[in-house]
Amino acid sequence: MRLKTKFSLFAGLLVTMVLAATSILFMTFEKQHLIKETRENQIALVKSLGSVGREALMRNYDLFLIDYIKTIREGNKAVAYVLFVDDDNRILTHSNPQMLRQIIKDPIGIKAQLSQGLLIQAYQTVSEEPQQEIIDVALPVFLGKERKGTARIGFSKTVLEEVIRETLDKTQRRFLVVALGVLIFGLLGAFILAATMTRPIKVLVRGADLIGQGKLDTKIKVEWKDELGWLAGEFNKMAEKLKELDQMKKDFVSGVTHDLRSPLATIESYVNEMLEGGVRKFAKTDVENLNIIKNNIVRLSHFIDDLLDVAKIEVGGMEINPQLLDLSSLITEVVVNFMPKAEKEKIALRIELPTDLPKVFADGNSVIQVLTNLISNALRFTAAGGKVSISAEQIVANPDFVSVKVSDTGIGIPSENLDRIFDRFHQIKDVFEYIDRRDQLPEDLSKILAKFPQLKEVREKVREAKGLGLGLSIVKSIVELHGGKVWAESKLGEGSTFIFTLPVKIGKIKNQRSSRL
Amino acid sequence: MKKILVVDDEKDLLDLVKRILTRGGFEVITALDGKEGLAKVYSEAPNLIILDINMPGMNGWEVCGKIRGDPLYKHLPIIMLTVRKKKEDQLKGLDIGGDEYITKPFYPKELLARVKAVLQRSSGKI
Repeated sequence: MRLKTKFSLFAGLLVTMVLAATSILFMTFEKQHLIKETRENQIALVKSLGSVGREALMRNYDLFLIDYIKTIREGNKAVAYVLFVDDDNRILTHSNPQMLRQIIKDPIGIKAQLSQGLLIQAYQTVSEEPQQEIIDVALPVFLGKERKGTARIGFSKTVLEEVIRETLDKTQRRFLVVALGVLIFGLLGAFILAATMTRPIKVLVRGADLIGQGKLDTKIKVEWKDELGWLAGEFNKMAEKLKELDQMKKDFVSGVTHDLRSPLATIESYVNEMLEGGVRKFAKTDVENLNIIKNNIVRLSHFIDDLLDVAKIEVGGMEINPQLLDLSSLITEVVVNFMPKAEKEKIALRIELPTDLPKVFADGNSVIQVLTNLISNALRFTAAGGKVSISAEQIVANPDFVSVKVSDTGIGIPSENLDRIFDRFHQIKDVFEYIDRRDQLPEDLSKILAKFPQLKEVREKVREAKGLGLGLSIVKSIVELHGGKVWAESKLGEGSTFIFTLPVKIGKIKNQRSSRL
Repeated sequence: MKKILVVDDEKDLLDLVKRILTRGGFEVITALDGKEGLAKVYSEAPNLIILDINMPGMNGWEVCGKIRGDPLYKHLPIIMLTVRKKKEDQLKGLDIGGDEYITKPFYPKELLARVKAVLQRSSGKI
């Protein structure tokens, strides 16, 4: 999860930085501490030398001092020299026996003799090769008020520094091991922290995703008592409201359905009553008028039926109840219903069905609606003497589906429209517009010109049966709800074929939930 | 004279059906909703009921179910009145226990013919 990674990285980085800062600080302080300690040790050493020297002077017993100086020299590798000078500037004892009895003449030594208290001096040796840096610590020794001598120890700075470095290194190494351990635990902890923190977010995301998909019954578990818990609650509320809204839309559409259809049915029934002459016989013109009224009511009813279907689809209320259907008998039934009309228009109606057509998993009413729409379109756009044929077969390349074809020898569809015809409110008037602007015709429409007499006839039929342009979009919605596809193939001036597919197997057909198709 | 109860929430349609059936020689009682319709079944004991399906409140399915569920009235002939389009409505109506269906809009002759046929069938049973 991206958030978890971000979280882990951030927390891990934090742990690492804190650890690094701690290490650096610790090391710096340690170094300072070591340096200070060293210095204090030096001073303490000189002081104790001073004490021993004093004792030696008081008892006039040099041996103490000599032994002590040896001990110091041997016990401390940073010591370059140890000496004791008496008040005559004569070296009483020295770690280097050659220096015994010598007079202090060097400036450092002289300064040390003159100082009344602890004196620390740093200088570079001139005589020795290689040159060393020495820190000379000198302490005057008093017997009462009388200055009796000076205790001095020279420390090699190089060695001192080396010792410090060594100690520091060891400390560093120990520290590093601990730090590494802490780092590993820290990173682990960071990762666990990230996982724990982001888990509720993951749940939220999943819930929101489901709701977004339209599964409005989703309930996000709301255990946490923090902002995330609040958010989850809000999501649940939102899903509730959406569900309510959905239901409201569906109720509205079905309410409208009833309110539109009822009066129409009543009006038509009354007109039927009058036409039948139940109460009194009407004059011929009156009867004609009544028939015109009736026809228009029928037209209106069809408009409304289409419109309501689209509205139902729009609010996600179009539900299909698929079952295993015998497609052959269904097709035959619908085609038989069209026989009278086809005969009237002098169009031949043919069926071609294989004997072994498998059953399809579909909603009978919807399939009838699809077939009715396609066949009536075919009849409308074909002139007298033409042919409309309906066939079905199991698709060889994809045996899970059956394809149904409705072909006609009608006017055809311009190729650029083959996709658009399934759009809502698309009406096929383009071809006729072309004819009206005959002098501006593109060349592929010359074929239409050749069929000119039929064109007029078809145009009349289309004008008469002018609809809202919703039929094909409803066909598409229905077919796609079944998991199938619908498309058209056509050659302008020669005819069109509409093909749609339906599944053979029982599958999960997703009835609409969301309102956008 | 046979008594027919007609239940439909459209008053105008109710009047038309009443007129047609009266012309056909029947006594007609009307009800504007499911509840009233049920009450009149018990109070008027009609020979036939014509039931509209899409009614607010108790719809035609429910009334039909209630009638069929009642041992006294379960043999009462019922004609369901359905909107033109849905074939499944028609089949469902017969499933629940309607004896026949008529689609709206109808022709008066058609209505009378159905009514007479159903009455004849049911009287044949009894």
